[in-house]
Amino acid sequence: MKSLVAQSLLCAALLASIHAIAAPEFAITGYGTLGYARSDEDFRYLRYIDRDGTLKADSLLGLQLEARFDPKWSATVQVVASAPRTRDSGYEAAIRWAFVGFRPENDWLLRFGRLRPPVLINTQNAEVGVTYDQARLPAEVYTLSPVYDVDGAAFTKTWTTAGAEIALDGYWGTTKINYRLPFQRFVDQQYFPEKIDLAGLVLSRSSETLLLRAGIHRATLMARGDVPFSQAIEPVSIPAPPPFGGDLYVRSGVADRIHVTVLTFGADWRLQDWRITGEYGQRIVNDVNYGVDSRSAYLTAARSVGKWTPYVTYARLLSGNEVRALYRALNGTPVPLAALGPPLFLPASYHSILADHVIAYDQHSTMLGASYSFSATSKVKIEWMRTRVGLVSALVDGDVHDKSFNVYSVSYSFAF
Amino acid sequence: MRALVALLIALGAIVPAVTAASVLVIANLDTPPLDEDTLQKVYLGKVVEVDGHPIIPVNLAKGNVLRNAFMQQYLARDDEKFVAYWTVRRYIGQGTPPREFRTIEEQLEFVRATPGAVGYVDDSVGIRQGLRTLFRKP
Repeated sequence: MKSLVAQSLLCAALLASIHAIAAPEFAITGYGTLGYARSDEDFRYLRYIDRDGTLKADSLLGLQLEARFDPKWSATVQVVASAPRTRDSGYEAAIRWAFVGFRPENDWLLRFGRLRPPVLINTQNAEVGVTYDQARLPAEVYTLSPVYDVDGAAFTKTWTTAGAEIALDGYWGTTKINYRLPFQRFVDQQYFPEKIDLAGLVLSRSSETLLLRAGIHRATLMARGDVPFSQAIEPVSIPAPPPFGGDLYVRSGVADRIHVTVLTFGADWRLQDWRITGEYGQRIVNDVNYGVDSRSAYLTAARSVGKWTPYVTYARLLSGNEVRALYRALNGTPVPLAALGPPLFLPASYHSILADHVIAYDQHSTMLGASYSFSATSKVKIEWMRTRVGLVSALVDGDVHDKSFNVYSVSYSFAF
Repeated sequence: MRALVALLIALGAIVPAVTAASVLVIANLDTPPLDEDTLQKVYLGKVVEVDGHPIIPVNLAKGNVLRNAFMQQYLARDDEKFVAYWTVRRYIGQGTPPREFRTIEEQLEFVRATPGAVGYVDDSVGIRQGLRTLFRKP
């Protein structure tokens, strides 16, 4: 709450400083989704979805205050009430955007403040459900980053060619988050406080029928609490015959920061009633060996039939070989008996506990759904999703391996 | 049955009159001349100035028949697509849609008083002093 008050004061100060330029024209708009989702399993998927059903996975309400001072200057503040990002219980209201926009000329847009860069095709409007047909954007790809909002600056430079527009977006900024650690066999839910510096460039080419996008992003993660990042989880040999001796995995080294390079590619093709959308995201991590190195992609085919838009999506998320191998090794290696006694007194489940801190993914989903559009600002969606977890998935809470499950979703999205 | 036929005839008489309305794009006297491609970009938020002069497009409220005719004739899209376009653009932080007025009179007053303003009327609106006509269709 303190944070929200501080953010509000910051925004007010920002707006007040611009107010001196000209008498502004204000507009209050908003959007929301009331969404219900349930699965056919007891374990939780995407924090909230289980057999009991939940409104928290998809429901939210956003309000946006816009002040337009003249065609070049504007200010925007957006507040969203939704499930919290830093804990699983309750709800929170948080400022997503608070930026001043400046268009010095037609081809340039500069933004300063809290903003969301265009990492994926629907990153910026991900919470505005009425702007896309899927009941839920594919988590396999859209969880590339735990947060997309940064406090910083962004620019958009546009070039107009015959029949197409080319845009280069650049951004840099910082944000503080509590990163939710995988929550598998042990009941202590943990959030790890981090500060993330983000910067990136995104090149887009859009025409009436085709959007192509490619981006490169660089995230630098720094631990905010007393506990630093470990550099690696690796085996140390206890020189004795098994089961007394053998490999004991330990955390080694300290990394004061972790660099993550993210590559994104996307295409959105519209041909008459058909729409084909595909995106690819890759996280490259060289500093540590326990995550979040991964590749992910999805492909959606949708077709408008009157006010209905049925669609089918296939999505895949897979951790890098090294991360999956580490996860397998930790779960497949018994703790040497020598480590259970003095001086270490490790629990027999020690390797499993370590494995739960490896951020590993191996899952794919198929979604079959449809949206019904009452108007451009009002839409109902239904979806059946079948997700298969292979080795493990950090998006699932529980000791879940080689298992398929179903998620049923229905939602109503609107904007005003 | 006769009543139904009479109603259909009456509707037939009204609907063509509305869809066939001449939509005039008007502007403040200080607004620089625009070509039609630029006008489209102005209403889609892609152009905010011409020759260094800020351009301020205005719109009539949703549901207005003249607004629908303007969309079809000058922006080559229906109002639903226009609203959907601006819903996305607004929530990706790329600007706000043209300011809306409930009546033609309010719109005219604003355009007349605001350098750079661009709006539209149908040609039955006789009082256009202090305004420049940019385009006339059909």
